[in-house]
Amino acid sequence: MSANLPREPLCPEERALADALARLPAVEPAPALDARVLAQAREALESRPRTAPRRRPWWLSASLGTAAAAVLAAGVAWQAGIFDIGTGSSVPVPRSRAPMADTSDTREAVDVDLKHRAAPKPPSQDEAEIAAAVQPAAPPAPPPPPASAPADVRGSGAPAASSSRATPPLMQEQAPIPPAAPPPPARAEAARERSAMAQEGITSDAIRASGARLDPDTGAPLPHWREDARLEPDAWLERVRERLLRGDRPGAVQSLRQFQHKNPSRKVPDDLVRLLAG
Amino acid sequence: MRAPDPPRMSHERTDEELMLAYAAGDIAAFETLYARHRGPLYRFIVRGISPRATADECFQDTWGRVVAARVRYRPEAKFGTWLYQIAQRLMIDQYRRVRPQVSLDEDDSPLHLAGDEQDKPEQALSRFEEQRRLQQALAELPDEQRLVLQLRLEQELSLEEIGEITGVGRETVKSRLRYAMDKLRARLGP
Repeated sequence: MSANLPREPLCPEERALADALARLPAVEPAPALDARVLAQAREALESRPRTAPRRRPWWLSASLGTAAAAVLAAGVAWQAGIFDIGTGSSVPVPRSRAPMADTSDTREAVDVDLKHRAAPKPPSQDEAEIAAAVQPAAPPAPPPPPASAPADVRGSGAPAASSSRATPPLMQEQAPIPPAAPPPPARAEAARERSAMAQEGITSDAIRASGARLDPDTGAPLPHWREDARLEPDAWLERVRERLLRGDRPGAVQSLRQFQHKNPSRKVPDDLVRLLAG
Repeated sequence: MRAPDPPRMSHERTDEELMLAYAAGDIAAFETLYARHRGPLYRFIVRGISPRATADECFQDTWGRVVAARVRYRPEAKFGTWLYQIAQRLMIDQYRRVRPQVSLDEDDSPLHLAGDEQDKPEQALSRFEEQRRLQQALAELPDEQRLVLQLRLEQELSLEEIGEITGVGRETVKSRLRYAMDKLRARLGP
């Protein structure tokens, strides 16, 4: 035994038995066993001690996970069009068909915060353009503002619209669209649109002055295709056709793709399907 | 010019220092440590475990645990205590697997047990019978009593240290030791 271990003297009784045990053969490990043990010790030194794989600190893992989730959410939101210019709100923006005031900031006009402002802001050119496009495509009754929305700047006092029109755009995207009447022929739709505009005193000149919505016959540029997303489905499709008529095929294609994305349950009319194929 | 101090001889170092040196990469330190403990540890295991091959395996496994734990070793407890603690646990594991059988293999033959070659055949046979009875008495002891007896009589450890190795209190060690000695005396008595 090693001298390091404390030796407690044995009492005579213990000593007698210890002597008897000591007379037992002093067996020793075999040389081969010694060699195995020593080799084991030597190999352990030669092989580097295994280091545990470095683990990322928990806070780093959590941060990475959060960042990844945020990027994923942003990507999904982007794909869903939530961040689209011109549709940056899930709350319906009150439409106005009043004569347009010159507003340079179109985004401001569609900002969701608008509806919370005390005084209605004069509609932007885009809103006017959209209103002009939407109104003829819809049933004659104009859409009422949402409960929290400011009063209709036109003050037309129109009766309440159908439930589908009262539904916020985002909800329209999420909820299945009830089966709608087949869209009217494109030409008839366009005619109705022009007729409605005429009835409400919205003339091409007025629109032209805003630089937003021009008569198709004038050849003036249409708004960016992204702005089409603010139109009601039927009007949107009509806008696509209008773009085609005016030679803006890329814009029509982009607009139609956006339409399909935002209205997945809506069947693309046969005359426009070919655009998606390209 | 003053000559540098000669390196301290490894045999002067304590077990704990040797173990730390080995952990730092000094294989010679381990060899010294092994040379100190190989015989007593081997006998401690062989007396409690048979057959010999199983005892060898337990012996090697004990040193294997020492080698594997070299980095974690802290000299808070004495190396010997730690070493025998490892061996004792491995032996108890072995007891749980299979109760050790009392056997006399080739190394335990009368010629080996007799020891002194100068003994006459009658004396050698008598000594052999005595040692055989002692080995049988040891083997018949309950495991916990035999371990305590070996640590006390062969290693001359204190009751406190035996308690540290076996994981029981001093009074329990004392009680086990007393029972074991009584049985041995009864077995070895005329």
